[in-house]
Amino acid sequence: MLHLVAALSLGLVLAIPQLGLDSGAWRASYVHLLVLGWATQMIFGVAYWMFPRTEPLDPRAVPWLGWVCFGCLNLGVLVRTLAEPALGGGSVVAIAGAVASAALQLIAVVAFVLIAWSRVRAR
Amino acid sequence: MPRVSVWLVRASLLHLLSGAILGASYLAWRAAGWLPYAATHRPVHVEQMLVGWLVQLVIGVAWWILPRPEAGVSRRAAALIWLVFVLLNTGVLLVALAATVMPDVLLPGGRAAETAAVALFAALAWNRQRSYRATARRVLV
Repeated sequence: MLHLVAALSLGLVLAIPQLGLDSGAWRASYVHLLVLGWATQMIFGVAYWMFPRTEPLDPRAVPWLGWVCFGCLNLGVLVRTLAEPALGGGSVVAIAGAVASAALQLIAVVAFVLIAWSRVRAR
Repeated sequence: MPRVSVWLVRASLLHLLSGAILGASYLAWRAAGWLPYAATHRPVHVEQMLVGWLVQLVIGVAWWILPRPEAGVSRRAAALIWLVFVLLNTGVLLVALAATVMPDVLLPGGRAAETAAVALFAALAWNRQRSYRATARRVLV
């Protein structure tokens, strides 16, 4: 929900050219706040809740993996939102941030796929 | 969960993984010039994330959780939902291939397969959406 509010607020700011934000540079951040930070994270959360469980006390259940997914996804989207618009300037911090955010987002997806794969099964 | 939903959801997870790898590669290429193959694969990333992952996951979960007809899902519907699975994944693969080879042929073919898949799914799912009131009336009668 926070990502949704942030994305739509950023979209509003980008829609007002007088505010001076470069819409070309910030567009990818806006899109990924919306589709990754909000839509994908909402799907991850609801799927984690409603997909058939392997618990209780199933040794295959790995609860910490869900927190890895949550932490990496949110940190990845946050770092990306700040780093990607600054890539045009060639700053080393922006480049490192963008590469780190790419890795964090990928780790989050891998964690979710590992969680969901075994929980998706025929009745 | 019906077996076809398992296949739809797992295929969507594979598209998510593949699309995320391409997306991360594209961002690394934009930032540092690494993984230059990713420069031409942005349309594949978008297609896999929107249709391969998002649309396919929604179809798989909807087929699982939407209220079933009182007489159960017909054999015809149970067979046709597999066609949805095949058409959707064929469509995504053709559109993805079109990013690198024969775009004039593969892109329209892929989009046609995707459109046929979602139209067929809409037709199959149409009568499985009912209000609580209609369900309660049937129970009372």
